[in-house]
Amino acid sequence: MENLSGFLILGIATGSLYAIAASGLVVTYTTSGIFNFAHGATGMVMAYIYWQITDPEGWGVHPILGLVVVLFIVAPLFGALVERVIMRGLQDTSLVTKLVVTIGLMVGLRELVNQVLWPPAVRPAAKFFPGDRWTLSGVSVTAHDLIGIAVAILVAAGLYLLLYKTRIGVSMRAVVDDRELVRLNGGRPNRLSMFSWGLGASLAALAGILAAPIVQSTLQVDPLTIFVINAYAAAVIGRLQSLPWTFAGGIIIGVAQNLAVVYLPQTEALTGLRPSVPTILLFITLLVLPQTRLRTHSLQRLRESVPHSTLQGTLLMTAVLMAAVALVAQVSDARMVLDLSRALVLCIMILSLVPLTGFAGQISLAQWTFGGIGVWVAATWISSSNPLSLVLAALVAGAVGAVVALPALRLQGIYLALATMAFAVLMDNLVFKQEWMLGSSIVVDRLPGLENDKVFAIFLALMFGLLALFVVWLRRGPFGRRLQAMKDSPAACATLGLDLTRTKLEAFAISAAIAGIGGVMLGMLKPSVGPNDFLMFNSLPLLLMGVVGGITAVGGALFGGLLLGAFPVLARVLADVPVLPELFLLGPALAGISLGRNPNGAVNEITRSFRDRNEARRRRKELREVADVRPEGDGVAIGPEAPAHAGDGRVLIDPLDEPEWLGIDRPFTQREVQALNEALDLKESDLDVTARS
Amino acid sequence: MLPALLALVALIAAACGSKLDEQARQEAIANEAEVEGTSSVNGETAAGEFPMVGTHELKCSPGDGDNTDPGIQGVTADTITIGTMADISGPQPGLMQPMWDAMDAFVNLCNRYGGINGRQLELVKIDTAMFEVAGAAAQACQDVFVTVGDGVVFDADGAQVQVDCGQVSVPGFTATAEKALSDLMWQAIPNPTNVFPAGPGKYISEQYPEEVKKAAMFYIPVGTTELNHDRMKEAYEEIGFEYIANDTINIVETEWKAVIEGLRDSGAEYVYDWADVVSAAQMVEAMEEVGWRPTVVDGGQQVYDQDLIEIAGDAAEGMLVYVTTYPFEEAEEGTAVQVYMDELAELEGSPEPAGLGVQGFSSAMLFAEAMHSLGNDISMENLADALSGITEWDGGGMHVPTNPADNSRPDCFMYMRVEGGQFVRHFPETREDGDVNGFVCYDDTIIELDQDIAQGASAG
Repeated sequence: MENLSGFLILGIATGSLYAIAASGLVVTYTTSGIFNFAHGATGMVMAYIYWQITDPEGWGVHPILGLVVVLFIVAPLFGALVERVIMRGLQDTSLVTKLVVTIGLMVGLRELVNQVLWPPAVRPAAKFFPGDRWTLSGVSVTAHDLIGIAVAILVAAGLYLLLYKTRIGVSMRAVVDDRELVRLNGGRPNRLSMFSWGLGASLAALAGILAAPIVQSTLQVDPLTIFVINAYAAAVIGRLQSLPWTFAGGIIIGVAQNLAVVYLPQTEALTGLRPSVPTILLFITLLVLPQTRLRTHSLQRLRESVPHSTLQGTLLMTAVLMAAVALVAQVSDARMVLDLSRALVLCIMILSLVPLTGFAGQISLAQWTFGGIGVWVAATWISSSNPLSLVLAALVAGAVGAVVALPALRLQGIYLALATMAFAVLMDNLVFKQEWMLGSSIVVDRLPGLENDKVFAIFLALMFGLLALFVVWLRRGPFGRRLQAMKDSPAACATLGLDLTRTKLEAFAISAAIAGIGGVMLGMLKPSVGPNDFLMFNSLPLLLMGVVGGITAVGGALFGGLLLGAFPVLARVLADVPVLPELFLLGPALAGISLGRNPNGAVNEITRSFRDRNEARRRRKELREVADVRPEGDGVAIGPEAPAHAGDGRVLIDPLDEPEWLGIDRPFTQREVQALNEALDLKESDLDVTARS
Repeated sequence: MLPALLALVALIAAACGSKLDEQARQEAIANEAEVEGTSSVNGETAAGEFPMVGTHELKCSPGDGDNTDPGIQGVTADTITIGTMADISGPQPGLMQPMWDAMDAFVNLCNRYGGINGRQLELVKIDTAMFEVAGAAAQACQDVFVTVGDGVVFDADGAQVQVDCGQVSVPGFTATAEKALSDLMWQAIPNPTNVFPAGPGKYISEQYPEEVKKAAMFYIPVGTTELNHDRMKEAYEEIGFEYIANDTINIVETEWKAVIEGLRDSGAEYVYDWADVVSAAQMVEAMEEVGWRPTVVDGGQQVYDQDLIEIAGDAAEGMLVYVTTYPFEEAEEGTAVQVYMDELAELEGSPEPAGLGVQGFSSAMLFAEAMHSLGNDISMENLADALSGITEWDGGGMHVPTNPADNSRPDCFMYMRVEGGQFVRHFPETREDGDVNGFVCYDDTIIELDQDIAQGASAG
């Protein structure tokens, strides 16, 4: 007890760093509406860059100069660049797309640093003024700790001055209130966005540089990223908009964590509790946050569409898949069969996201966690060689999913994503490693008859098909219609008496149940599975590749899963080729980031372009039969250009030559829009409102 | 649907591609192996005799020239294809690169002297990527004769796979019980997980009898570190240690200062950290910051790493570290470990020597010893029999003496101490004071453990 005030000071020191990090996050969120999951990774990258610039083993520049360069040049540029290139295009997209892009950026930065730029090596991170320390009430406090506190106070004061005393700050606050109104009043929301993202990146950099020597005395990717991620809890305490509360939240988390060291016994059962303190605080905060207002209209105006899968189509896909897998398994070596099987498991895991993310527009970052719960149930409650274990695994995983989602469902979608992330981290730190759970590893028996790896691969394909059929069946039934209605207009659903919370809960439970089965499949595939197989970080690529593949269609899940499974195989097979292996390891991240251009996902884009082309061909055929065709001499051409000739004297009319037909029975394609602009003599610059702001 | 088929086609293409790639790679390695190089292998001898690695005759020679094709996978009249599994890519890129480096060094050396009975060694490097161990073992079963010098953290997953396909493995080290006690496995420094050599503890308890009554231990409660912690605790308690603190720490421990404050409050006077070298470095750094440390800060082979000093600097001073491999600080002309270091220096990039690499190199020498004795009568059974017959092994002085056939070793060790930013011999005080190779050997300190240890992979 005597050391209490000393530990308090240490807690405030750590908490100050959380506060600095969280404030940067809140600044970008309030001015752009995008929760930047990559905030932690940004801080981490900047810490590495700072090390590279200032460390004797790097470029040995003086620390002050290094700080100036990183905080005032590199980080703001990076933030502004990210906003301009990636985030600007996300304005009209759904929450899912926004989140996936930032998660893609986070994964990409992590892989870039760990695999390409700074592969693991010893990079000591020195504290500022090492060796200077004082003893306060029995606890040793270093100069570095005090600097952290001082910097946090300065940042708080600086942000207050910025937001309340400067023109830019006032504009930023105005943008929070009403972006369009700002534009109408002559403000420039986009410039403000770039500025605030630059500011956010600088704050992340500050937090990262100060935290690096504290977290681990050598630079390491994950610990640093997780440290800043812990700051997200502080942002939540500030309800993602109140800076004072964000700062308070950071301090609370830091103090709680330090006190946990003092008062929590260090037994095996409780080991994971200490690093989980921020996560637990996040959960508690979610429980007490007030319910958010319902959206009245759909955000998916122009850019996103939801196709319909059919039961027959899915059945056909399953049959083809099983045949293809059997063929590939026959011609491949043993390791490739295992790689293919793993890809199929990934397909199942991504499929679990289809009902939740694709149909209901909600996000879960805990799919592998539910997989871990499922496999534990199947292997330890009854033996996994009993088919009943699959059912049990699905039920338990689904139930856990419902319980986890419940606090967050009455809140905005972003909170659900954070809640699932927090849940996954909690399970990683605290539960999976327990002896009674996964311990170091557990062995999961396969169902009888599936000992042969090739046969098991075909079984996995069958499993995917069955689950896909289930999902499609759901979609085409009343439940699917409810989900679609909810996605379009939650307020309208509420006025019709639809229980939104229950519908979302059901979607979440189904998603978790399928993920549970996926976990059992992984367990059956590998000789043993352990906590490392179900880490939260592993769930991120699932979301990335799922959305990129097309999360609204089961075919998209198949494509995304196979591609995700292929990346590491390609990287290994081509290990001796320069650059390519790194590109493949960055694959999921790059795919996620590029989603901004292609929000519907690859599968939907491809099927849609096929559909468009078929449509165009059909229309051309119709018009040919109907149009008034004259020989060339008399030349009555309909449209701005002379019609093409088929070579046998017939004249072909292209739909593009007849603008009045467009848009009536099918959506515009890009070509048609351009043709329309030409016909109306409009220029892009006249139409682009954003260019003028 | 179409895109899914495209992806499958991509997978098939990759499947065929991988076979071609390995063929090309093997050819490249075979070409590499014939390049001449310098070597400090002393006592270079006339044809028909063997090069010396320390005190050991390395059984690499041109043979009699009358080799025949034994008709088994991975062995022809002119070549032996061996594989080395290691964690290279994955979440910690380059983790076990020293194992591949050690095997490159060995293959270069052995092929320079003719290979094994005139059969050149071809090395297939198999990347386990930390979590693909079963797949890697399956690849080994299909592509190579045996695996040599492996270094895999989660080797349990591959143990049964190799036993099931009847393949012998001679890894550089083993991490899990399933592999350490596996059938068809022999290694240079056996590490049977059902016993624990408590020699180092006995030495400490003799030097610091009061301090070991107030002993503390930190460990990460996961996997191999937890296993080793449990083994040491039971064994050391048996020889008189009393643990007043036995605390878990996190893989990423951010509260070291608070942890050390707590340790000081408990009155501990001896501490051991079962984690990696980074964790140990941070532990002593925190001690420096807090301004207190227990009388004895003890560590094992995993801490015998220059990274400790690079990270902790002065904070590491006075730390005791026990090792079972010959210290690099005492490497000189004529010692086995010098041969390892010299061959490493010839490799591209001149990688640093590492304790695990020494083990891998010695395991490769063990393999050569057994393989050579078969002459032309090569089969998996004969190789297993030959390995089962090697009861004394020390890699020419590269490490403590061991008994690979029995999968055991006498309790020999040496203590180093961090002084002036270097690892310095501490006990025995000079090489000559030691019992064997500069190590001291204790009797009756190998403790049989009562606790439940997992079974080794078995042939049924």
